[in-house]
Amino acid sequence: MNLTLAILLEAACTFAIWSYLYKENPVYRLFEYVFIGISVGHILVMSISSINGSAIVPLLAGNVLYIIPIILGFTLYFYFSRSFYYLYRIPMALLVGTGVGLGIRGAAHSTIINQTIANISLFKLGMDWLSLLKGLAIVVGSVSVLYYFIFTYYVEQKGVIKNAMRLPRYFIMLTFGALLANVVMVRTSYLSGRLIFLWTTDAIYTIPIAIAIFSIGILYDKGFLHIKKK
Amino acid sequence: MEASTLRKLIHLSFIVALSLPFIFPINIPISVNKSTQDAYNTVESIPEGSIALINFDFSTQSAPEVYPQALAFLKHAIRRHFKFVITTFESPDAVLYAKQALASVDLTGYKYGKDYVHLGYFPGKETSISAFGRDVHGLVKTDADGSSIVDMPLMQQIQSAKDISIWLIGSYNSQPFITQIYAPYNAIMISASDGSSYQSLYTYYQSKQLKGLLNGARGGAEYEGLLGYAGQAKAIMNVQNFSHVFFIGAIVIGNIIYFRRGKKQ
Amino acid sequence: MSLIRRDLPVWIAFLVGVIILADYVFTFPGLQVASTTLTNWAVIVTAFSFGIGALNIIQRQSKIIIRRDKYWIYSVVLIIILFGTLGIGLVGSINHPYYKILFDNVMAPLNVTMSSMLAFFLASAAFRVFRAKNFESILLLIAAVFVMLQNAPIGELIWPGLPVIGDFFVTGFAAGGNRGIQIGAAIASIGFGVRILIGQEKRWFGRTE
Repeated sequence: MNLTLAILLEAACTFAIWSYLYKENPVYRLFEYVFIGISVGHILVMSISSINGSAIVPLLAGNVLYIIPIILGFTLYFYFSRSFYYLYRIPMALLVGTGVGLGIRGAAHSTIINQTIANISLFKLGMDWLSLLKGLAIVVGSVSVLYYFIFTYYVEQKGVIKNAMRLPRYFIMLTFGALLANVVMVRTSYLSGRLIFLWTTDAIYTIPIAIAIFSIGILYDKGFLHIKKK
Repeated sequence: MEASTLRKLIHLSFIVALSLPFIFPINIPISVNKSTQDAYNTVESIPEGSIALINFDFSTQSAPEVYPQALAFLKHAIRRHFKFVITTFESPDAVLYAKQALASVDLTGYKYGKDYVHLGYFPGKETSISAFGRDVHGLVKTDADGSSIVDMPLMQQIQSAKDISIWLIGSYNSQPFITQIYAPYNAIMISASDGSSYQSLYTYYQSKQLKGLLNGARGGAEYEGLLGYAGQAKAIMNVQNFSHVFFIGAIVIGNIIYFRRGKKQ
Repeated sequence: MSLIRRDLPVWIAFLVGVIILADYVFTFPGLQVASTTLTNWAVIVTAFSFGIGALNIIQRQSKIIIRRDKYWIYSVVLIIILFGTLGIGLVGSINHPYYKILFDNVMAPLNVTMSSMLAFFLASAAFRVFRAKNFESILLLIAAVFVMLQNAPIGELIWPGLPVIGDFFVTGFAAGGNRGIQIGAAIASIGFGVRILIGQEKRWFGRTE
């Protein structure tokens, strides 16, 4: 048995968060605040390191233009000022303009154009029936779902079109069903990671201790362990 | 039975069910999906000694699922004797995971600066990916430990995305790479995923913007199998057998009880 | 004064966006240099933006401590841990053993365990909430069951046809639905982006005076 501080800490963190499944409690709350503190500290460390590498180092090497993004970066902190709040919008404008420009480029080329070309080139001569069915499912699904989102928001559909709008809803339900299955796989993967740590390392020795502590906690919560006052 | 008591019983039975594979280990072989096989074949088709970019981009939250996939990419790149750079564009947590991965693999014959470089973290996701692809040295001045990259022989060979032969994206969502790197440079990219982004990324794989795609932990286990070892992803899939059977059983039993109550009323 | 408060940021966003878009279409060396420089500057400014979130948290938690609000002692713990992590990271670097313990053995397990809680809630929802009440919910559940059996290796053991059906759900129906959603979202994002560039959309301004 080699219960190092690292293993004990990791096991304590795991059980403390799982204690929320019974009820919110002070131990869970404490570890929640610890997590927020470390996360914020960590992201600050990484950002400062990134600023040092990308801006300070070239500035000190003689590239004076890098003073501009550094000044813009500090201007962001006028967010906290009441009188000069509007200065915060100037570096934000740089971020927003860059983001929008890059976003429009990517959306137009990769998503709209390339995906439409992929839809058209789904069908080839001599393809097997399974690929043909899949291709039909993709084309019918993508066109009907796109029509549903773009044309049913502003205009109320009537008659045959209204009934036909059931088809994209069915495709959306099938999509969400597949997404649900994948979300189940993802979240149980995270849980599996914790269980692999608990069962396959020396942390296995903390399991009976945790069960004992949980049991005492539950009994105390239900009132079985209170000392009666005379 | 009270709703809260029922909920707690379900949680308890769920954790017991997921602990069973550790008490009664089962080892069901995993068949390989076409998208995973395509990813493997794509890496095999790139000539040895080429330059690869391995992207580690996941938070501590999605590490159990994405880290095994990124590690498999790293091992495959070393097996193919690629020179590689490691980058992170979204989650700063992944820098430490990349260091952990480099410490866990056998780098015999690899020299830092000449054969591999860990470049570290560049915030901004799509913005930093675009900046990197356009002009690497305009964005990157130092490596992950703060050392200058100017004199590194490998970095002298990489000026832009055009100098990288293959992109191994160990990220939970590689869409920014597709929009900012594939579209302008027609780059060869294979991607990891976490299960929930697999579906949306599949359309990019189907349109051949991604040459290969791994389906979360399952894809990681498949890729590990192709490389000939059983890592964390395989261990996770052993637990998934029990969890998925539990979920399907819960849905079926829940609906049976619901319809029987409806009939009685 | 409204020139600096309102008009100048809109013009800056417009010019930056147009330069980056124009660089994608035309090939002028000056345009390429401008676009590359602006993108590099945006990366640096993004790194500064993380400090706003951190300062916000420190500000709020400090107010809780000063006012002795409920759970103020936890706020003290948060502030101490925050500055402790920052100190170790900056003075000792991220390779320091104490930083590795904080990251590997505290932050990572806490984050993963919090995310894994959803698995428990999904398990209880599967029993209590996922009802086949109408045709659409039946479709959703059928898709979910077949894809789950495709994802788990046990599905293939039960019957080799199960993963094939599950694969059809993912690579046929779901791929079609996803493609439609993605193209629709891309069209909407282009429209929204153009609205931002021409100044019609000003929510990114933040507080209004």
